[in-house]
Amino acid sequence: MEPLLLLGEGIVRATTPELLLATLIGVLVGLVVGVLPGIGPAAGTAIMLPVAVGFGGAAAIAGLAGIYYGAMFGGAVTSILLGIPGDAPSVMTVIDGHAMAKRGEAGRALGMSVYASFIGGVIGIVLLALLSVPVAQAALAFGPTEMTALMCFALSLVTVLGGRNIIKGFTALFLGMWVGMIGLDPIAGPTRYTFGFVALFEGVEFTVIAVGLYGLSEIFVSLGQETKGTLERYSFTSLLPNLRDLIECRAVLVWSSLVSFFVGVVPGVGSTASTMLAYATAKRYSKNPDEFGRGSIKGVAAPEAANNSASYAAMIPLFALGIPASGTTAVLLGGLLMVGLQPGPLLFATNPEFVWTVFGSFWIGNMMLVVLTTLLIPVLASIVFISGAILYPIVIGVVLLGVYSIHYAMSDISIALIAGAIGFVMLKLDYSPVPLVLGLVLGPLLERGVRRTLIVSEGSLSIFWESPIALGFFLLTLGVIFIPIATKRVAAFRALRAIPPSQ
Amino acid sequence: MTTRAVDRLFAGILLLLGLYIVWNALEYGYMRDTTPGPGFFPLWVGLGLAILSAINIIRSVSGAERLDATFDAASLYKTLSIFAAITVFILLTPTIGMLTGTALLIPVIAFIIRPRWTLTFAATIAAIAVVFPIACHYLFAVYLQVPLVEGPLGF
Repeated sequence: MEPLLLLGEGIVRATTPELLLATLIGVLVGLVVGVLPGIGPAAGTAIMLPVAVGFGGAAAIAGLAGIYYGAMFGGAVTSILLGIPGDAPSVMTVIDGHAMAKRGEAGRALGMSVYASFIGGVIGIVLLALLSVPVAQAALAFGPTEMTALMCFALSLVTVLGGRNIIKGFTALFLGMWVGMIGLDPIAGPTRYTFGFVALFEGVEFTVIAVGLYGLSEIFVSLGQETKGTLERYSFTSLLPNLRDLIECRAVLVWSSLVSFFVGVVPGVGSTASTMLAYATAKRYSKNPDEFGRGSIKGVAAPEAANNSASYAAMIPLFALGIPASGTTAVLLGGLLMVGLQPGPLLFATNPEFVWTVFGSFWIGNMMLVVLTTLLIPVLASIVFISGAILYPIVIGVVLLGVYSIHYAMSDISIALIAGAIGFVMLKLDYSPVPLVLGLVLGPLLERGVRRTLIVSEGSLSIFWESPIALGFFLLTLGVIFIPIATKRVAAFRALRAIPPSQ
Repeated sequence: MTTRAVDRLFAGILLLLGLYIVWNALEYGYMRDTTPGPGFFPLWVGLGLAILSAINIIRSVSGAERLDATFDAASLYKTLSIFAAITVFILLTPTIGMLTGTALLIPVIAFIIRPRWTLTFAATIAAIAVVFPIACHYLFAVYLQVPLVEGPLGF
């Protein structure tokens, strides 16, 4: 129970005015990000990263994480009232939530989404507190060889699971790893790929690229898209807790939170896939599965509890292993590095106060979101109708000033702009920007790990398979990369054989 | 230019980039005695990028690559115009200052996104162009103590 005591202490420390303000700003931005179909949590955290880092320390990470889990609350509002998912993790809420809204039960669905999100959040935070320390302690036994193998495994998972096109995902990953190599060689010293620009000697700042790739490119892609639809009506009293619904959905709430948490821990799975799995599980074990898809309250409870729980699950690989499990947690990792902290197993030993304060802020943020979402639903629902011609100039202004504020350099704005243009082309051509960002963050760490390991072994590659743990991770990596490719080939071959010879 | 043509062009550029990375990696040095040199990691990354880009080109040429998105003229025009507007902002900022630049950039981007303005919309944009730089001054220059680029008027 020690972790829960530490979490309790963290909650107390997270109630300082500075941390409360940072968490409040984070969750408010997250709610807005959640309702805007054009901007996802990764873009939201990336856009606010330079500003949040200005808060410093735990407040910076509390604010950034607030955007992430705040978006999970906000996404449900437009899903239910308009039938438009504000972000990908709330896509399953549309099915039953909007069906309920259309038959006049919008308030009941919205109320359930808020309380399901809260319950999912509570379960997620408790499991995060209980499991992060054992995971970090287990990882302490890992040397550079095992960490290198683990990093390869995590990168392959995210790349394969994160996007639709596996080959293009890996292409983006390699591109990101190359961008991460620009500048001084971390071990031997000479500069690499700087094209003679002195500004590139210290390397390309991760934040600048992330803001351009996530923030600007998503705006470019969203240009011209105006949200149309009719808001379903609801009364404020219908948003208040409905005890009968909560009792009816109690098992779904707990199971969805647990399932999505343990699935969400796996890098690359993310909140969206966890939510889909939770919805499918709830339907599978329901006494009335036919109700799902026609406006079932359990169809709202399951995905909303799930996406919140999964958002906290993604914090385990980030904080305990130093490996981001998604695009958003990659931005959070960038934030941790910018405030001078290296996430990973040592973080719990060297900066326990910081870690538990940040976890405590999650609890505070989760409670804030119940009140804020309930009160702000009318505002959030109307934000979605704000014209891009009003919204995007403001967002671009924040991006430009935020990027400049990192190093006080106008050249950073140019780099972010170029990254935004490349990101726009990549999104259009089905290259997911997530592997690029992960390659940029983890590439330098992977290079250091590989080279240090080979320095120890005097260049012998056998060191990588002499460690059973490392060997296991490498075999898993190969499996993750080649099994989906082989499965596709087999399916294509079977489909070809199924065609009658006359055709 | 069709989306498929852009796809091939992009993959071609990445293929050339991959080969450039490999070329330079060999110059940096793959191994130094028994330990990996500065070119060790870039060589494998460059090779990976080149091979995967070649596969992407083959897939595109053979029709195995299916792309749903298109580069429609309207959104491409808007994107390029915003890109140009931000470039002008970067060039003018040292002369006119960052906040004045932002105040001018906001109506320009709004005009690019929505060329037809009503009186209400114009008033809204004008208000944002005034309020936003002031808010940014307090957030960045005062609270976060960022030395924003100042113009001749001191902001």
